[in-house]
Amino acid sequence: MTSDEEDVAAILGGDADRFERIVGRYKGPLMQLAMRFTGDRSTAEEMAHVAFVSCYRALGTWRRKSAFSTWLFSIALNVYRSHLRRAQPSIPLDEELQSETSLEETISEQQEAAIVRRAVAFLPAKYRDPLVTFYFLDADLAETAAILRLPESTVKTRLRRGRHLLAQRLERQLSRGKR
Amino acid sequence: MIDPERIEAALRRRSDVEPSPFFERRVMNEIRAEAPAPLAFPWRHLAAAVMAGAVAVTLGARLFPADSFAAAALLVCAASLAAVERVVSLRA
Repeated sequence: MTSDEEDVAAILGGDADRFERIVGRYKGPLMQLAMRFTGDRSTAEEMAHVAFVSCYRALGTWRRKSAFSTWLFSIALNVYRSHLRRAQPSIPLDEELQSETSLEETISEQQEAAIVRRAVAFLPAKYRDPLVTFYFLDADLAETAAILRLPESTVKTRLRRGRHLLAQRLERQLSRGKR
Repeated sequence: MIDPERIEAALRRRSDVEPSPFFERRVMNEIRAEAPAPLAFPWRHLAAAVMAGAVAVTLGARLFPADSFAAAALLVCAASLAAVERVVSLRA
């Protein structure tokens, strides 16, 4: 039994305090995942908070078919997506980007990553979600499909189109920067 | 043309952002306020009830004449509905 499974069994047995271990293990990844959807730190924290509470409420429905982390990220993604349906993504501020910075002008890998993430945040949700799940969570195709509850073939297609769209948008940004 | 590998590397790169120090405490306060702990969904009980119902209907069809079987089937349906209602009320 993994530590996740042990903790879930204890919580379902009535020891709610064991949920603190789960929060401790996954607070970083859930917060960072939220930052992929919104650049605002306090909004990301609030989204991660809601994701943990939703996870706790639904804990009894985890059927152990997939890893606990896969199930948790799936819940978190649903929470984040429904949040974004209510509010447009803001421009990520985590790396204090200058809005006119172009990819060619980047001076560090960190800034380059921030530009790419900003472009991803503004992609249509059907391309954004597979890209974030596949690359950020370092998930394989099957796990991405399980988290998004989509067929693998659909995820594959959306990843390909998403990458293409992303490259186009970054290219456009690059050519704007050259002018 | 932008190098696709650079894009992928940028997508994979993680930032060091962590929640604020009191994040865990805030989440746990809400969790404790929600107590009692969530119930495990009784999948096994539900599956056993459905199987028992199916067996009862199959046996009934073989053992009883059509009219008696219809009455027995109604009883089984009512019992199954009661079981499902019990499961749903446990979840609520």
